[in-house]
Amino acid sequence: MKFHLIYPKWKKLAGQTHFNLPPHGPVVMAAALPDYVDVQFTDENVDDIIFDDTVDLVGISVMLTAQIKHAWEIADEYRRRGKTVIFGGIASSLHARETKAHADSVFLGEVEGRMEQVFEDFSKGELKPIYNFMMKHPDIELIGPAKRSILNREKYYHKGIQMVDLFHASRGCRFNCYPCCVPFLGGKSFRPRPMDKVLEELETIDNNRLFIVDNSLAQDKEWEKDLFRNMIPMKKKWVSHTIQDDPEVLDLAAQAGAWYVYQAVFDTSDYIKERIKKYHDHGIMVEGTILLGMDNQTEDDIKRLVDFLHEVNLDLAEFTVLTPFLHTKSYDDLFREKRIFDTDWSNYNAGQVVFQPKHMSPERLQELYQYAWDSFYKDESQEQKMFKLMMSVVEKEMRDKTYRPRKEELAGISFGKRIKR
Amino acid sequence: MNLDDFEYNFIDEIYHYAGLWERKSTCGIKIVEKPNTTIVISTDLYKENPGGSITEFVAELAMLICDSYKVDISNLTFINHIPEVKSSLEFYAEAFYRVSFDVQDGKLSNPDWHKMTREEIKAMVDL
Repeated sequence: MKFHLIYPKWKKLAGQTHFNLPPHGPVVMAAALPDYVDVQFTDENVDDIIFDDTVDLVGISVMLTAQIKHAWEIADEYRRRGKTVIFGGIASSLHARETKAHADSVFLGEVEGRMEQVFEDFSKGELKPIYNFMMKHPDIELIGPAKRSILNREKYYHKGIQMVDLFHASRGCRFNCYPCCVPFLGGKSFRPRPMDKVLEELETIDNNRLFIVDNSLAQDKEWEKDLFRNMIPMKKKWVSHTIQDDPEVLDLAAQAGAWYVYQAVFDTSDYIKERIKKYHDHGIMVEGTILLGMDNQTEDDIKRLVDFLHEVNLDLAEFTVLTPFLHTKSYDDLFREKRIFDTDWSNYNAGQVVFQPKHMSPERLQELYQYAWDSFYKDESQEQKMFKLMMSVVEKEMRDKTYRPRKEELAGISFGKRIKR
Repeated sequence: MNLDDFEYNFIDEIYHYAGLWERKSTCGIKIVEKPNTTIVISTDLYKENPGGSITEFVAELAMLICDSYKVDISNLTFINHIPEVKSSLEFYAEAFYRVSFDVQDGKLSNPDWHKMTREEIKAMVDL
């Protein structure tokens, strides 16, 4: 059976460096497919979609809300050609009610152990409009190594440098963060994968640089320490979200190859200052993630926060405006108060203001968002800071003899496209 | 956080229901009979609720509660209580909303939220 799995493109934010990482959802989904399925994968961010009239079934994997409208267009075109289309992934679940109008089927929840049923139903002409596995989590043991062989590998190089591979060691999250939809999608409890399965998958990844995409690694201290201890011999270098604020954990993380972490910077407290210092003391670099437009932020608060970032020597900063994604507390709060004025999902890219802020106009918040980017990167550009970040990992790799030189034959290519001089 | 963190004046019992996409969900409820109306206060339970929020499912939830407690939906006053969480973050401040619905053929639809103060709610239910 021929299955065309598509990951739709989305418009990247203006002014930011554009990197295309190999997507994670599609390779996890592909690993759960029955053996008889011949999967052809298109990541539209790096390859054009060729509408293939010989395929039996089309799957559209959607991670971001900003992808969903274009995903519907792709589905509409394939269905116009008489093909059957099934949706899955994070944003398909968030927008399931709307997506039904563009799909023959929508799969909700996690795929492991469920794809045999879906493909059998399709073969019999009995595909269901909804496969509802929300909160019916599969046995965590069933999550095997992702099927990265579907990726068009050479398309994930920039100037000969391979992008990080995405990987997950757990699902769910015990935190209930205001702007986050994980409690709706993955549940409110932490579900670590068995360590042997985690290590088995890590061994399969032909890349020394990883992005551990778990929602937060700071969920269970003993599990986290166990994970890092087991990763030390692999000599991988990795990026992750928050690590536990504990000297022993940070020490193990550094030994296990922690390269840099994403750390939310939500105020100008000594706690945040200390947190960043502790990472740096362990040789771990920090990319601050700064959310603008919360109800407790005035214009002065935002300006003070941006000044603070310079004081704490962040290595990189990523600014976003509060975006009320469906099924989050932020959406509920703003929706009840009728403060959401834009429901064009393509604008839900975390760089465009779609709601009425409490202490300023939407236009002013948009200006402050731009001010934050401009101000932080005024003396040293994002490219220069990223170069330093790259050099830090190269030094670590040189030290433990894992450094791989760039692919010279791809030096003039960026994500499959020749670089214009 | 556990249920002890919540303001019990507005929760008499925990209501279990199948929420959006049949997810197991819970909310706190308090039902107060008045001469001209039945007031239902439903309280979000955050992490104590394994499922979705009241807001995303409010019309269906109101009908389920009315069905369970034999409340006449045409005589319903529905309050959505967003309790304070013991956090310094303002967006977890307590809020109350009266939710109005269109009533047609025994069904509720088109929810609309109107903010109220704690004092107004207390006066409404004689607490």
